[in-house]
Amino acid sequence: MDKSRRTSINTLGVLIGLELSVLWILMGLELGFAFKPTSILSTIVTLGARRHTIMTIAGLVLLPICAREIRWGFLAAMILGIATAALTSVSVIEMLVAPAPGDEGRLFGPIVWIVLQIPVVLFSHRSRKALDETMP
Amino acid sequence: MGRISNNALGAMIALEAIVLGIFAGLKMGFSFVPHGIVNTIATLGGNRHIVGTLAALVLIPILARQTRAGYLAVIGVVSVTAILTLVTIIDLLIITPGFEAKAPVPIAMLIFQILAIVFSYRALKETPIPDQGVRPAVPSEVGEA
Repeated sequence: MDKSRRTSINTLGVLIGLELSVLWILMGLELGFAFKPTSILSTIVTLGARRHTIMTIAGLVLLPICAREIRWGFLAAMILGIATAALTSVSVIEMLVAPAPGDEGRLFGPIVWIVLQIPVVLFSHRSRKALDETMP
Repeated sequence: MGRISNNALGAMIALEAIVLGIFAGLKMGFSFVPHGIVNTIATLGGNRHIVGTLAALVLIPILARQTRAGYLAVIGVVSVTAILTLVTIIDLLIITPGFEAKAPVPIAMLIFQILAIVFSYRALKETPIPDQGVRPAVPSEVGEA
């Protein structure tokens, strides 16, 4: 395989970002994480407590699509990253403003998950730009 | 920039199916407790699903790089995991009675592991060996010629 056929660094960044996001949820599940919404807002932003499942499956589906360097794949990864970060941010703000009993020690997980969305969005944007430049 | 080959993509999807299988299992409340010496060894003390998942997640971006070393790493790591899974299946079906109902999940895992190995091997075969590094001609030798 010559070097021109190799996956670019930006695409690799998207793949690693998506994988870290999946890995974070897997580790949570392995450690016994089981989310129960405590309010209507919490139920909405966690998509009925299924957000981590939906986002993880979507991430796993997008991995081979992004590896294939398809333009809409990067757009989908960007949307997934932004949606995850936005919804999780609302959860974090709710935990800070109106904490339910036991919320104090549960902030770490969602905050890290938000941070893990940054490389997904950033590298997807860069990959899309690079694709636009090479294939207008 | 170039697209990933179909074989590398096949290996990647097989590894993802393994991760997805473990994810679905954990989501449904799977918690493994080893039941014998053979089972404890083959499941790495009940941690094989985590070790295997971590290995798969590390190997996916390596596969995406489409290097010979990456394909060899996938074949090596997945072969070891597949052997351990096979030992677990034999243990569940033959050695320890009463655990036959637990065999379908490791059998499904083994199928995906075999697919990952086959696709990695095919990708390895289509990847040319890099140049061994031809020594550049020394100017004095050129002059002598």
